[in-house]
Amino acid sequence: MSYLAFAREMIGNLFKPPATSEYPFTPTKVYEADRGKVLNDINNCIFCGMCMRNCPSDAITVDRNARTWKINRFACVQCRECVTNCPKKCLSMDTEYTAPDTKKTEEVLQGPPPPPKPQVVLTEAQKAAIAAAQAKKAAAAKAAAESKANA
Amino acid sequence: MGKSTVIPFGPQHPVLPEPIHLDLELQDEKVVRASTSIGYVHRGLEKLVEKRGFQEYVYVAERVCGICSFGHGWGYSKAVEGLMGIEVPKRAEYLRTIWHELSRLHSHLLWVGLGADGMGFESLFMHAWRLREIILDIFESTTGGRVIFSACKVGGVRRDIADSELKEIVARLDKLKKEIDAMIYIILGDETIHARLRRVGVVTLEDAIALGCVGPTARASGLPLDYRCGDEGGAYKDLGFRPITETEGDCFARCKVRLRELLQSIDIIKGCVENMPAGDIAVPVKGFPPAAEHFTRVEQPRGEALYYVKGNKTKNLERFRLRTPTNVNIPVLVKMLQGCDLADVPNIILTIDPCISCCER
Ligand code: SF4
Ligand code: SF4
Repeated sequence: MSYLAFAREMIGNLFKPPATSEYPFTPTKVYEADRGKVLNDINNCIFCGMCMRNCPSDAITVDRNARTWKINRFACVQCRECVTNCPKKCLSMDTEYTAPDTKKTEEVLQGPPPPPKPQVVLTEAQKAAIAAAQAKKAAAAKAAAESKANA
Repeated sequence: MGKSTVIPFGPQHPVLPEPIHLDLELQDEKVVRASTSIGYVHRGLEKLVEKRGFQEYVYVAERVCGICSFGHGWGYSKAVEGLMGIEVPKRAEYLRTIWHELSRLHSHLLWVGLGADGMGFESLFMHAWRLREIILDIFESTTGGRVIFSACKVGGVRRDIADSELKEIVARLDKLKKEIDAMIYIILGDETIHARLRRVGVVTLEDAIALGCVGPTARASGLPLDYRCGDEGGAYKDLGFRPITETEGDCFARCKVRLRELLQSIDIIKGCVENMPAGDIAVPVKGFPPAAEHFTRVEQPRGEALYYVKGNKTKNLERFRLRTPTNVNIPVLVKMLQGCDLADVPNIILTIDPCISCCER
């Protein structure tokens, strides 16, 4: 047993570089796995709402009709659940954290307008075929109803 | 003998990392009676199980404690898995064991720092926390978080660790082991630490059994109580786990148990890496928990924690109950404080490694 058993370590430390880094002047170490903040590639989003339903802290709001995707970054707990559940894989996790702010603001992303419905141009023959098929179907339904009434 | 004086100690006190309040009844410098009160950081996390889906709640369970966050996520998942009859893949169990033992390493290193700080040994405090940083870096590179890992889920784990990464972890732990060895040599050989901790706050084996203490506090009194040799799951059974015990029951013995557990945890992690099975890391979870109950335990760095869940065939559980190790170590703390010197009170409190926010949930 001794006094000053730690002295050697302490004197050694005088000649070692500091164990801490001077953040923010030197950037911090970043790992690929780091969970910083959620990013959305809004052009690929289909506004299905899977991310909203799986978020444990209810940080995401998806509006299908208005085509908006809203996130409250100060409610997000960086669990990555939304990224795992997104069917289109348009969500990703950045390694950068959200910068601090004085207000709890929400970030709203507006999706592009929906692509126009494809206009189908039918030829005369196709139209006639569709009309014939519909007529046949109606006749069959009528026959079924009649046989039911007779029975 | 002078007349008794009652002095309040905490919830805000320079040596206390956690808000616990004690009324110390003193005669001269001796404590004759101590009574504790808690309730300063109650957050109602158990109630939240009614508001969050059973799969989402694992993120809440993790937030019960900032030190044993992985253990609480595991305990909750294990309870729900038991309730729903889910068999977790072997690889997931091994990965869980690795993260759990890393948690123990960082918890015990944190404790060494806090204990040293409580004694006024500031340079050891800095040193222990510098070593702890190595573990936090391993956590960050494998799970993406330093404190809250979000790595455990019902049915398995959410991230795999590649074999090359596992080898790198072992190399880092080997380096850390050398530093821990040197630190243990310092702690066990330092005259001042002996003077502060030896024969202070003694708990006899009988008291340990009667008052039902758990974890390193129980093991330091010679009670080999460690749930890792029970049906903890994980890799412990395969690796042939044996608990570490000391017999003196004083503050120094509790310190020694934790120091020896540091080395043991490194060995467990190495064993896991060597025997790591291949395969899936999670099984899909279908349906809702049945209307039944399940009860399980996990050996946390501070001792055994109990998890109880009750389902009701819906997305939300009906009840979740957690009893943390500090809850059961408080009676023994009161017993230890009787008859000690006022100057030893901080050391005694710190050697049970209290985690009050865990205790109040
Ligand atoms: S889950 Fe993906 S695709 Fe669906 S709304 Fe969210 S971001 Fe868009
Ligand atoms: S990371 Fe988690 S908390 Fe944050 S938005 Fe996604 S699901 Fe919600």
